[in-house]
Amino acid sequence: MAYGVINPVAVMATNIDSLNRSCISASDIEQGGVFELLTLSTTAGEAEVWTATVPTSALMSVWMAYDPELVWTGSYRGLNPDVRDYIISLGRTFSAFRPKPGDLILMSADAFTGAIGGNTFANTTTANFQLVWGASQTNDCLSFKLRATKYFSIGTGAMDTQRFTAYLMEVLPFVIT
Amino acid sequence: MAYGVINPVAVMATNVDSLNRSCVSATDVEQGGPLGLLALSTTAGEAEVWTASIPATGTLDQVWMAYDPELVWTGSYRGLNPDVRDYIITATRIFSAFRLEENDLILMSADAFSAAKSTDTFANTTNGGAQFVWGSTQSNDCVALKYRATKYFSIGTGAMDDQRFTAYLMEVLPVVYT
Repeated sequence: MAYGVINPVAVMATNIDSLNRSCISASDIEQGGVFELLTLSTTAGEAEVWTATVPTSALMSVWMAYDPELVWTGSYRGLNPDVRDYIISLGRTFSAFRPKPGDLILMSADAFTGAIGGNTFANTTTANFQLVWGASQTNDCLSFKLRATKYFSIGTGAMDTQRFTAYLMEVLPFVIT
Repeated sequence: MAYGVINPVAVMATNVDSLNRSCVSATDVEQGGPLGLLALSTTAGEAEVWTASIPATGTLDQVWMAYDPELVWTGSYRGLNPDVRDYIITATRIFSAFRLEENDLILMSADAFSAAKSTDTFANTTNGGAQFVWGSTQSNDCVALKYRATKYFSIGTGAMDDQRFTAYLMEVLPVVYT
């Protein structure tokens, strides 16, 4: 199974420290996964680590997972170059940033729930760590607009397989009801 | 009397120059005090200094926060007293403030609030309030903070076993408009 891959092409968090946090989750989270950061971890040594939980009520205040992809192969890392095999495993500290309106993020097709179909919006939904394609922007949540279909070049060692579909998504301003 | 102490743990103003301003106030201001910056000073030599006023209804969603280097005055001298809880920004002295933005994290001593914390987990700006006020819910149309954790400041006073003072980690919430 291929997991989501993202590239924050142009995001405010690149320049603003406060839009970046360290997190930990009780669930596996894919790159590009969205979640709430409502409480600090209570584990010793994690005083500045936030607990990532699946979005529930505060769908506008969600953060996005983005961590260096170093795939585990048994006890080793770095042997497998295919970043699509990387998932942030539960209980491991990882990085996240806060998407802001105007941010551009290139996200692989695997980073979404379901296939794109004819949709051009992706919304945060309750009880889902991934964005969900939709025909329109949902109110009161973090939403994205499809701007272009592009690709990731991912070396697998096989012939003519290096390009994988990705979508250039722009974060939209909230529509607040 | 101990005054408020704050530490902007992670605030947008650290990286964005336009979210920082120089101010002056006609009244004493504590660290962490919410301020309205609605007019420039008219005093000669203060062309780029803003007049800080106590927040008022109608502009409670546009407040800034006082945050200035704590150098306590002891008579005519500064630097003799290391206890930053004795520091207050005195009237007519130019000081620094930053604009509060959503998701900013600020560690604020218990003294930086208008009253002691009970079970409340929100702190709101209020009309005529020079400090944040604890509340059980987020108020509409104002900058509000959400309590995230209880921590402490380590402040050396020279006395034994009294270096830790309660502080609250607060996160700036999106403004809810009516």
